[in-house]
Amino acid sequence: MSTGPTPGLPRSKEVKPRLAVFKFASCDGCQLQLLSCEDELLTLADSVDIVHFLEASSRIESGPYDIALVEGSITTSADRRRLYEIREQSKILITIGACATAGGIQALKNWADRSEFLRCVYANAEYIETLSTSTAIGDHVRVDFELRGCPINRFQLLEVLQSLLVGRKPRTPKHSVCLDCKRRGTVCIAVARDAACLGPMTQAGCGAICPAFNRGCYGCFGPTTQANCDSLADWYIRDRISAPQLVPLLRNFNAGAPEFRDCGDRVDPNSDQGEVL
Amino acid sequence: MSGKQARTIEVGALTRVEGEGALRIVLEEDKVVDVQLAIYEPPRFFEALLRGRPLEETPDITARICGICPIAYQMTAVHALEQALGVTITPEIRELRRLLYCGEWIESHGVHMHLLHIPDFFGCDSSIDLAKRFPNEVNRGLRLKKIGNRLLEVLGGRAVHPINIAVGGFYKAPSPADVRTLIDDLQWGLDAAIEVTHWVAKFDFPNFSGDYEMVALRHASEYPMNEGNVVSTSGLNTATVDFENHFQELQVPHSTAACRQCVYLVKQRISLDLWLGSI
Repeated sequence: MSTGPTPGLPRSKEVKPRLAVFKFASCDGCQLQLLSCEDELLTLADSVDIVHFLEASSRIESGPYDIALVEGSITTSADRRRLYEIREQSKILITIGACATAGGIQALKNWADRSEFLRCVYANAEYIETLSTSTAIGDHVRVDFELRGCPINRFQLLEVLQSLLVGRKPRTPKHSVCLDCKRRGTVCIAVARDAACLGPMTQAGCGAICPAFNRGCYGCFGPTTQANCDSLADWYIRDRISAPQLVPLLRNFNAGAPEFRDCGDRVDPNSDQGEVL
Repeated sequence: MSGKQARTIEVGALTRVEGEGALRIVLEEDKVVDVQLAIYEPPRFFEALLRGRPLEETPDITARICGICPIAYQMTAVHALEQALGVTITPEIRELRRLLYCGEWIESHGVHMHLLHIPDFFGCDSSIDLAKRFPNEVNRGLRLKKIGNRLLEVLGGRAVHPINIAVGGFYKAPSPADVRTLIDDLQWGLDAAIEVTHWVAKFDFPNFSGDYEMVALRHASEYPMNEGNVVSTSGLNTATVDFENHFQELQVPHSTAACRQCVYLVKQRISLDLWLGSI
């Protein structure tokens, strides 16, 4: 039985937990999910005090914060310093989305030459400060809870916030997309249509939408618990697509998630770690 | 006081805007002598990372440039690829894409007005603050936004980063039954949008105009939201494919966003002005 909010959060009914939202390299889509809680937004604003959320409010208060939602990945040294300060000021730090939990699509630069990327995009590359990698928040500071997805599911976000307020463990599924396809009654497209679907190795949370729209899952929610990526990858390469076709599928929005990263590197014919399959 | 008194106003972070920016204004006495807008979003290198990847992924990847307007990038991506491949889409797909784009416009305008801009007209920090004074208006705006999202979900699979956009069309056509469920809400939404327009028209807008070149799309027979020529107030009228022959990217040291050489404004209102001027 829960007897109050999560330890560390204010216990008095008069004092609301201070919520802050921070952005690093990202698209804004995950923090938008907070604003997309159209039916719950005003109720939520009664339960927490939103004291730092640049996209939604001009009220900017300095820390300490009770709950920090962090979107985006670390791609500059200035952002890394800003993250250390946020961590110091925050009791509970929650990463929201694939950029914050795995480095995002911009982590593709981890496989590239930084100066070549700079020259490709900018005429005056010397004006731009960027690290050679895009990394997850958890690679730099302690993270208290990770919300997966590209974008996150707003109901999972509400579940996490609600859980913190009442002091229970958030119930966010860790099973694979496959289970949600069965629940929806979607015929398995990996079996029936020979699609290279990442559903068996991807964590649920999106509602298994891609297979329901006749296309394979492309892994927005990152690796599921105990995903056997290698086994599935080998089967797909044996049965339906070539390794060069599978690599970009493993290496997209969660390219930096260790399970996807290692599997992609293993099957990549151009990688140092690659095996000949 | 003697001599010119210089003052600098530094805004470290602009709030309630899509994206991130800082503003530096230098004044001498009361005259503005310099303004610098610094977009400090870290670069993410989309142009570079798309190279060598399967073209089918392009609409999925470019969507991630912006979670607030993914359809804009998805549509641009599929149009560019279809032109490059010589693919012609059917009139039905064109209409469905336009409807999908309407979903994003309804959602994005709902956000922009109610959550981002309107609080400024009443000196409120946020829409949550605004809702204390105008609960019905804020709730009406949130419901409009939700209807836009619902349209995106039915046609695109989800509201942020839709998954149903393919080069050549869609992965799956929406079921007529699902689309029909939207009709009542959209009818309510049309009336609500007109009410919002009447409400906003009464706001006290600053009387400000400058010597700008304004750029928008123009289409011969319809409001140009997803197709048309690039036109400007100085008389430019060119096909989108020639865009780069008329506009040049320019980088400034204080900002990570590439600017265009001629200062120009792009806004829905300008689009409307230029369109109305053409008929």
